[in-house]
Amino acid sequence: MKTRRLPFRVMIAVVLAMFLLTACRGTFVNTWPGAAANQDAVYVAFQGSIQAINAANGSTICSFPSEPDAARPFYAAPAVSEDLVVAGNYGHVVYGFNKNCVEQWSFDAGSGNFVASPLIVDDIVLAPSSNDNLYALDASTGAEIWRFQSGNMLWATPASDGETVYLPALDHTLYALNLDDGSLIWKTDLGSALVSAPVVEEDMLYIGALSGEVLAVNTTDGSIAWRTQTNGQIWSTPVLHENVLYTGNEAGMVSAISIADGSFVWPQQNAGGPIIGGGVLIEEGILFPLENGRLVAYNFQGEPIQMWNQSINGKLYSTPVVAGQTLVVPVTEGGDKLLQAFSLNGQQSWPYALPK
Amino acid sequence: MWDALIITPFINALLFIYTVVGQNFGIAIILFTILIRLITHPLMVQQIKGSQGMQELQRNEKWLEIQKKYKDDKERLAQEQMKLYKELGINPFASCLPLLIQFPIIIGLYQAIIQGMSNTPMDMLKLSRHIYPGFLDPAQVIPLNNHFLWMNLGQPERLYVFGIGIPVLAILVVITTFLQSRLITPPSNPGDQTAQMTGMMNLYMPIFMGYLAFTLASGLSLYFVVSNVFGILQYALLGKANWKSLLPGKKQPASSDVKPNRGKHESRKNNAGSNRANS
Repeated sequence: MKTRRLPFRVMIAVVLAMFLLTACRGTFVNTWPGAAANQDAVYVAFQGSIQAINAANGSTICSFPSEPDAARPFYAAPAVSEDLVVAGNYGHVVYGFNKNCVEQWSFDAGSGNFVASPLIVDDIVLAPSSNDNLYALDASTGAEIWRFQSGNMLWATPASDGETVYLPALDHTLYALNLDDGSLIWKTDLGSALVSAPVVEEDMLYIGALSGEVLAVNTTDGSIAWRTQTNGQIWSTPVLHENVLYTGNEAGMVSAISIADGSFVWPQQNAGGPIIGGGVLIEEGILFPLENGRLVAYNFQGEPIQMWNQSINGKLYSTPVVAGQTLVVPVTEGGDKLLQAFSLNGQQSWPYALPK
Repeated sequence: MWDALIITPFINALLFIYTVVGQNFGIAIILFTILIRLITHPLMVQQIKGSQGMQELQRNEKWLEIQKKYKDDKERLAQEQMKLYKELGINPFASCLPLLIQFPIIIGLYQAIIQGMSNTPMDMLKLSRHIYPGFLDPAQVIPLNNHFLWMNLGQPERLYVFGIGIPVLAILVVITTFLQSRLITPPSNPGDQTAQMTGMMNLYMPIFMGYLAFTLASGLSLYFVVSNVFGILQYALLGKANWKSLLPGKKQPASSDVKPNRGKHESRKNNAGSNRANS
């Protein structure tokens, strides 16, 4: 009798193990949250849903989807326009929803993950995927207009001047595409993986690379105007302010680089910890999140701003956002805390925890 | 500690092979798996010998006798068992210890492959931090070329034939896991509950492994297949593969063939003889 039960018990054990592994699939994804802001709302993508949060008091406005799906999580910051929020997930689907988190459309790419944030240019949504394709979608219906296949995964948001799309790829290449039909205009090998969006200013484009270089590329033909080496990987988009690029790197150094010739405006500053997330402009200067949970800020002359010498319990990998009069910092491994808000004079404001 | 001793050296070795073979992550996984299996081969041999000795002991008359005689006196039973181990020249830890040593190595291999196929920015950041400065240039190595044959090693594998996705690697994982588990299972006596349990595991484990291969990144499936095939080869070359177990209806009863210890040389000869009989 006892031995007859054996096959049944083994089968139950195997089925249970399968269920457990299926349940764990959502947690296999391990990365940091993404946040975007629009007027007085912050949209934060983390795990199974995107939360729309009132920047003034940290209350939840709505969440998309209404029932979180851990197996298809969102991590890339959504793109937000006047009346549309667009977000791609780690289940190869891009969603368009309104400010009340009501779905307007969806687009299923069939494979890959949407690691990078999409970009909305007028009535076109540009969604880069880890299946190597950039998808151009109709912003009102989600229908595919064109797609462009690159040589490797796309983890960086493209940039556009309204006519041309500048697409950084992990295959070390920067592609310039026609916004109307996705045809290739030029491509340039920048020497290492590109994981952050470029900044476009007039006829030049500026981008950081995992090699630690900051490069200036001519947007007309893709030629490299200058390249400046820093001492660590650059994971985020440089901030351009009055002809100076401000960037932090994985070695913990903050650089201010002149766009005229790529020279350092002031000596590189040691921030005290790796910088993965991007800098954000504040009134007095530029603020960076450090991986070790600290915030540091420098004025435009490269001097530290003491009131922003803050510490958060958790790790900071994501780029902070400013919504209204609030600076919102996404937190990784911060226990329950997903966001920490500050007033623009450096006072800690509300924390935000994911609803259970 | 775990990272510094196991994961980081493994990742660097894997990435070194990757650069040597022309940035092909599929070939790097195959070569790295074989390399690790070769390094752990002496431990595997020890483990096989140890477990075979213990299996034979379970059928030894003296063993069965003392189990029966001292079933109510645990302390005495342990003493008598130790005596018998000495008498027969069997080390009860001979099968566990090599397995315990192999275990972190296999886990390290598995984790190195997973981290190599970084699918998120966080994974890639961690991967870049594992690379020894000056040994490899992360900017040149990253991202790894995940394309191998028709597969993207970071995604579950399907081969599309006439629009139908066939999970070729998952099927191969099921077949090779089944073959390996059948070939390494020693003959047993009818009614042996442990053997029945093993039989059930031999049936369900391939399905379980196939399910993992069906749902997880194909780089891991590739590792499962290579590891299984190499394991079968190792058993075959050692003369330990129980080929008859693959034939339906041909079950070979086990025999009690553990003899009292008359010197190590003789004991080895006896083991070799029984292995030949099995194969």
